[in-house]
Amino acid sequence: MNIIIKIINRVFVLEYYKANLFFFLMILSLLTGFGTFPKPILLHSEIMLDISKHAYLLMITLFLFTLYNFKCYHFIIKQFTATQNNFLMSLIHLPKKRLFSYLLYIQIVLLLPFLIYLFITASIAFINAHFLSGIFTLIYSLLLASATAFCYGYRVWMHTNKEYTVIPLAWTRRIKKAPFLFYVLFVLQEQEVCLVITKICSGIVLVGVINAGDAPDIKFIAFGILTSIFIHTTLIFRVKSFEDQFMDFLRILPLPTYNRIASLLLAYSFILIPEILVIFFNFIQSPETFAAILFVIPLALSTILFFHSILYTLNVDINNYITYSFCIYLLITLIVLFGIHPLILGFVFFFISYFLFHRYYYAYETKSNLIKRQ
Amino acid sequence: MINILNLKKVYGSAVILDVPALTLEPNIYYIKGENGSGKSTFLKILAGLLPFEGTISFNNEIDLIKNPLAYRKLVNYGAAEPMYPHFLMGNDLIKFFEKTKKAPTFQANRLIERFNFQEFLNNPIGTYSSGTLKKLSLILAFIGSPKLLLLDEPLTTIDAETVSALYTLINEYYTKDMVLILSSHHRFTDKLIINGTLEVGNHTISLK
Repeated sequence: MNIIIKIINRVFVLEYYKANLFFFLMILSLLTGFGTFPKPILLHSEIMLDISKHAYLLMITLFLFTLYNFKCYHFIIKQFTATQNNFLMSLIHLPKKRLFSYLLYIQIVLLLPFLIYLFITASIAFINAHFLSGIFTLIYSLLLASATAFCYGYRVWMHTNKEYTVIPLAWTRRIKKAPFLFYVLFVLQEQEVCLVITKICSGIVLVGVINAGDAPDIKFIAFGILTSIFIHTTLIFRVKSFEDQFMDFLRILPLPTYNRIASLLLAYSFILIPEILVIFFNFIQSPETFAAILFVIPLALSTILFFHSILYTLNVDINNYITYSFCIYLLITLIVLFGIHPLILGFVFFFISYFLFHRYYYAYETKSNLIKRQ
Repeated sequence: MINILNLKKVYGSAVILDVPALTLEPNIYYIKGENGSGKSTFLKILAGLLPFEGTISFNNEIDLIKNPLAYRKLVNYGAAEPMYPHFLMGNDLIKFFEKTKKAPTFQANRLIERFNFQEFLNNPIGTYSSGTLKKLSLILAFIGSPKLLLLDEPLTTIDAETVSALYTLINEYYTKDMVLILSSHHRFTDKLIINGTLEVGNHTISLK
């Protein structure tokens, strides 16, 4: 076997499947857990036929495929940029076509489980004369895999040349940067995949809220926005990790607590602009729902601030953080559904966040710091 | 000047530092100790970066815990291994520190010239070499008019020219009413007049 393929298999493929073993076992048990053989096969062939027959089912399938593709993309970029894998940057010296073929190989091997499912779906579509659906499935999956491989090449090249930025450098240089922009730029420049996935999921929830009726109840809008905020927890955790690792210099500076918390609030307001706009433009028409916007947006901002602030008191990893956040989300949702006004709840969360921030900002020590010392 | 009373830093059950009482009068101090003895931890505690038990104050008046804002106005710190957001430019941080520390006019420009940093100002920090990053952290550490300046391993990764510039700068910058603490595994030359040595060992700090 080619030595490069061997390295690729060891660094990317094996590591990926090892890291996601539980995920694949879970998916496999879900897909095959519908009775004894050959029942699951018959069921899936029916599902595949339905996918090829109905455009909306095909769209949902391809959307899930795109999300899975993002997951692979994120993993590969993380591996490429990890310090221990710096030697992989020498791949950039290969002829472009050869480099692209290796990157495409990585992507196809990582997408393989999903690709097999899609190719069988396309075959069933062809057998049943749904040619358009079959062709679309094939072209979309191959185009997405190729485009992602191309993106790897671009990122690797840019990383090696130390010029990679999502926002062009000329623009970044011109912006006068206040501390809140440090967080915003981090999310835009270094968490673009996480941001896109978060916004897609958040968007799906909000579309559900928007289409719930002409004038949905304020509790329902609050539930939608709270769910949307909960979807942001991974992003919040990463913002906090960034703060711990790269923003230590802020802790030395004589900035009052209100200034620090205002920076965070502004940063999260900026991150939540899409959600705020969606809610705003869809509920501005009727006076009842417009009032709801005024109450729900402060709740959204204070909740996201609260999810950030609790990280000063909890020295937890992301899995535990998501578990805690989920419990808190359920609790807040129940409180809203039981009739506490969202605006009151928003103020309560804001004051709790301020208290946690004020009390623990300097009393907090990063987990890595504690582990290093012990 | 700097009054430290019953300072204790504990990680889990391990005591890292236990300083019953220590007073630092205005001087240039060299802090020395073996690897892992707690030098950097002590400097970080003084900078207000790590939580601790006990009291640290300026003239028994401005307490680090009770008056965090007033205390931080008087302290500057240069980290041993500085880390800044990769996507920011050096200039962004310098401007930000200048504003927050209410630095005298042209101070930052003079520091930039002194450390020969002009050509890196508008480059992303992610593109800096370790030496350039260290220069940036030194520039930031000198911005403002602190009464306590803490420099952790200031000589690491910088070239001979910058070392010389740093010595000159320290001599010029040092005023009679400030405390300057330097830690280093390199020997300081005679160009720098060190008035006191802080020895870190057996989890405590003694003034020699």
